[in-house]
Amino acid sequence: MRHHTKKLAVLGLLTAIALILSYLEALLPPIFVAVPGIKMGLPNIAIIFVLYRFGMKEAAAVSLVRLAAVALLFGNAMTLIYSLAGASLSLCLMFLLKKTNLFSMVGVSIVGGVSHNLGQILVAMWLMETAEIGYYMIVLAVTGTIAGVLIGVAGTFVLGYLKRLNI
Amino acid sequence: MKDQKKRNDIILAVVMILVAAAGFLWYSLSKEEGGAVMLIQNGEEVQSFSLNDEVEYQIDTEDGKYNLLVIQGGKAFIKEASCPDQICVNHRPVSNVGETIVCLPNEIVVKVVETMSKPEIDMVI
Repeated sequence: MRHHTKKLAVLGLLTAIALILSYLEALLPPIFVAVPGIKMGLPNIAIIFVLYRFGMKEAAAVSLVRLAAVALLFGNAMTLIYSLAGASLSLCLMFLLKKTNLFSMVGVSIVGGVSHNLGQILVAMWLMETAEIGYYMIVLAVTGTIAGVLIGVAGTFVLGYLKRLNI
Repeated sequence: MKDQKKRNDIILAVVMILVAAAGFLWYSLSKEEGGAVMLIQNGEEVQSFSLNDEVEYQIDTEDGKYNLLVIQGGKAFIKEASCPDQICVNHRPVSNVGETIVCLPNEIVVKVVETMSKPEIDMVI
């Protein structure tokens, strides 16, 4: 029972952190205005930590609550479709890649970053019925990789520190 | 095992960059100057404009949103828009075939094409 309560509290805390990171990211000026959608993917630090520390079910729950809260607070139904597509593709691929046990958190996070962009671009191509939007993926693959490396390194530190704190 | 994973991480990152580089190469080799821009609203083509003209056209949506499309010196860009993110306004001007400016909130796509799809009316008698 004690264990269960602690887990619930930690997951709630991490959901709040993911939400704050989403807000923080929205406040940052765009890195490169010519191509929209380039983001660090800061909330993924929290998501990838939950995936490693607890598992897929817990990561999906935290991710879903974050997406719903972001849509209610700063977005709308339209932005929810995009973020839902990006987040679910990203989390599923990260989960599968982690299972192969071939990559460290950095590699998993690279795939998470790139596939988050890919999910959103695919939805944009589908909703707007314009295949040319796919060109954005050229730039987003590079920036997603860079962001993935940074998030992966940050996530590795977080996992190490929190393990020592017994969280 | 840890080094093995690290090596795999690096291979993965390099492959990602290479795929992007190949995509970029293919994109830049296949690009050509466009002759017109096509305006797509909710997935439907509504109008096209020649890139040779100087145009200022306001696109209005049913719920009162707008984007101001400008064509100047053979390039098209969005000068003003009602959307909150202003991504389309910040987008650099486009002129090559296949380039797009997308406004997700207003569901508008401006796409560069080779030629005008509808015949131009050059004289009204």
